[in-house]
Amino acid sequence: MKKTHIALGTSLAMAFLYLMTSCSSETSTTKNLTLIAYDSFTPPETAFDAFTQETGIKVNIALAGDAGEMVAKASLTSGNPEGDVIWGVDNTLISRATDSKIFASDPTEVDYGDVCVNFDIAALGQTEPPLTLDDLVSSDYKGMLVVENPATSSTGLAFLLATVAAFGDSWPDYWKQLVANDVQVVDSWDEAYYTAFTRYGGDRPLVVSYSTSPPAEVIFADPPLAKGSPAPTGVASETCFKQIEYAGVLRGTKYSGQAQQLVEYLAGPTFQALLPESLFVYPANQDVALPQSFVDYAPEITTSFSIPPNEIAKNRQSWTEQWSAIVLK
Amino acid sequence: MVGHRLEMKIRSVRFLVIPAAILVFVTAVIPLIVLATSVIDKADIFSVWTHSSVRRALVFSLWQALLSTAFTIFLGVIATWHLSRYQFFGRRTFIALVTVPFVLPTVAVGAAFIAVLPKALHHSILAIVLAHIFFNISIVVRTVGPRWNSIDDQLIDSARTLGASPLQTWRHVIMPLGKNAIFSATALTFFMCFTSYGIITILGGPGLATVDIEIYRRAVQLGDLSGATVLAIAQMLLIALTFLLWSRSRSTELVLFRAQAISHRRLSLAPKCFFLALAAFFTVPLLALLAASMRTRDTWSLTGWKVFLGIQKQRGIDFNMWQAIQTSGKYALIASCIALPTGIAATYALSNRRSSHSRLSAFVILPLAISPVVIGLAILITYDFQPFDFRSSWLLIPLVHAAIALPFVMRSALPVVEGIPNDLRCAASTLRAGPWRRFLTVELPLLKPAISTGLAFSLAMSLGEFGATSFLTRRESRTIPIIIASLFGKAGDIPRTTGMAASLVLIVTTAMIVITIDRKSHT
Repeated sequence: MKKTHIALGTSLAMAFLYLMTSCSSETSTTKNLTLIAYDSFTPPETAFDAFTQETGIKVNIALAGDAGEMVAKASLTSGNPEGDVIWGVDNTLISRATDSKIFASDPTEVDYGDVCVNFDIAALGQTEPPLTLDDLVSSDYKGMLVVENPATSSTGLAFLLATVAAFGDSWPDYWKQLVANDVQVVDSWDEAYYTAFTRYGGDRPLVVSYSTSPPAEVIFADPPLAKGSPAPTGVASETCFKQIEYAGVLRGTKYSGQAQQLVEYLAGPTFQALLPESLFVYPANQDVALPQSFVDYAPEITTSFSIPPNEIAKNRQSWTEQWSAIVLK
Repeated sequence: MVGHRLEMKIRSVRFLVIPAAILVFVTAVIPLIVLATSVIDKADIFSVWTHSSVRRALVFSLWQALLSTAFTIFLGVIATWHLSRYQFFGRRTFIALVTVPFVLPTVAVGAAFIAVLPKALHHSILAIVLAHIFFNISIVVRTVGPRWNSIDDQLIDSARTLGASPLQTWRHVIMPLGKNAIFSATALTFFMCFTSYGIITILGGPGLATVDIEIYRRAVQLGDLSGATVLAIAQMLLIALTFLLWSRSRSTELVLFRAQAISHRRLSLAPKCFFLALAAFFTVPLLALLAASMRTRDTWSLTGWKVFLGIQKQRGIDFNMWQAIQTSGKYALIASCIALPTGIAATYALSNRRSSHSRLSAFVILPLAISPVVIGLAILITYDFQPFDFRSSWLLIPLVHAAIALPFVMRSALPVVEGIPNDLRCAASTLRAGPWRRFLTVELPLLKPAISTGLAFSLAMSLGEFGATSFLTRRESRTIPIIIASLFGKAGDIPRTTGMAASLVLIVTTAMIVITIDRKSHT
């Protein structure tokens, strides 16, 4: 009796494994490349048609959770990657990625954007909008700002890094002032923007978001804005932290030549031109003209803060822990 | 002689636990062992506990889960009693209604609760408890309901005739008969609250973090995979142990069975008010969601719905709704086709062996007890070698969904399977029905409620699952929850209303599936 059980179990397991392998074998031909990206990677569905036409290679997109989860996955599978090319490792994570040697060669810069304080023009009314980090601790803006927790949100981390870059070792003092000015902290960007921000029914007219949120507000406005009217939200242009995203060939891919072609396509003009209005980032390729919505509504950020990636990697944990001790008490 | 024959028969179905065991091994145990051996740094096994954030997360997980469970069980038991014993208008719909929150994307629930709750309650423990009741009450209704449903009216009547007060009847007749099922529901609810993730991030706010959130933070934000894995394993062992002890402590009970025992008694005023309040508690957030899908500041608009249904093209938003619905449906069906037979078979095989069953239920909870981040990473490095490189196989998603649904299927099947009187099996055997014939003609019809509950749970679990899916998905086969999350990641009116519309469609679809299944199983 026992033997039949084992035999049955084994054959079930074998049948199962066979089923699984037969389904996955299709990706192992050179006609298909797999691009790994974070889950908000949403270029138009036709974005890779030109590449497929040119090279005969079909691009499969594997979504790997948020950017942090994606890098965690890529680091863990370094050398035996799940795909051939990775999109969207940003400067707060790139150091971890290169330390675990996920790339076959140096990654290419593909896009950039800024995390800045945004304001709701209608809600501010007569109040002059803020411009700098120092403005935010003024009593004029008491109880107005909502930020994201840097321990759980990449936007929140970027804003913390902006203050670290701006104030150096005295950044904890700046945050003490923000706390005294009644800053609100939430866990994620969508919660800050869609529940705390005044534009969507909250009571905070200042929110940490992106420099490209105003053009998004215009494109997605319902009802559409009248022609020539200004964007409903604005950006405090001296509160920004620069986020740069990279793409690269993953070490261990069997098709490094073709994967390199794909990276070139990602950095090339055809694909780059699609970025502003689908991912709401700036193309890294300087030859690409910006769409009208960006020209009209995305304020140019001239002075954004930045910190070298290896510094970020080294201090990330201690900074966020220090921050929690001050702000979350 | 006859006793000996029956003993043989019971033994001969024990192999039915094998598929469940394989499922859990493949999706959880093996991957976790592989992950643990490759990333854990031995020093972390002790040192991870010294971080204050880890300790805070443990304490918070525990006390908020205790509080949430107590309230959920209390309200759930009252609701279940009336739902399973009285016939009243809207009863079926109500049962379906309470199951629906189970699949809700947490962003949508969070938004709905924030819209409904007064400002002072945002980010409070009360908001968390309310949301946990909203999410988990269906566990009580669906596991305890079938049990109480099968109590013979005459039993209660005799108790009353013999002079027992309603309270005494409760204490000495009704509660003992529902005890095991209530224990089951308590364990599952406690577990769901303890590992709660989305609800806490939205309604709890910073500083209120559960162990699952701390695991995510360590693995993803800090890159401390070793610490995260230590925590994940510790949490898993704790939950498995709790389940084991919990199920052990129960005594065996009197088994009674009577199908379709719903009486036609009418509800008195107090329970009527209770149900009205509870129905409002469940509908108001959904109505808020409906309003949010059509409201942009001071105007009403159908743009979000048009974009979601593909009637209107919107620059910057690109997804195919039909493809998403198909993918979600396909995964849910496959997951149910795996979870349902596997779970019922396992329950069936061990229903007469309490101790084996309690060990098994502690075991099948494992896939659900591991944080989705850790399970995703673990699967990733386990099946990464040829010819078993299934990292890119789409089958992985329904398989993980099935594993997650398994404990729910088993828990809801147990009371029904146990309710089948042994006499009936013996009678069938005496009449020379073979094991298969006996199963098909006698036991299967009696298992119907278990099948329908299990099916409803596994479909709902799969349709709403986000964590593991977001980790393993493909662009061309995104499920509805994944699309909702990507919509809520963009700034502006249209992504927001479209996301709300998509959430509502997910809710309504699920409710309809659950209602249909319930209807079918009762006719």
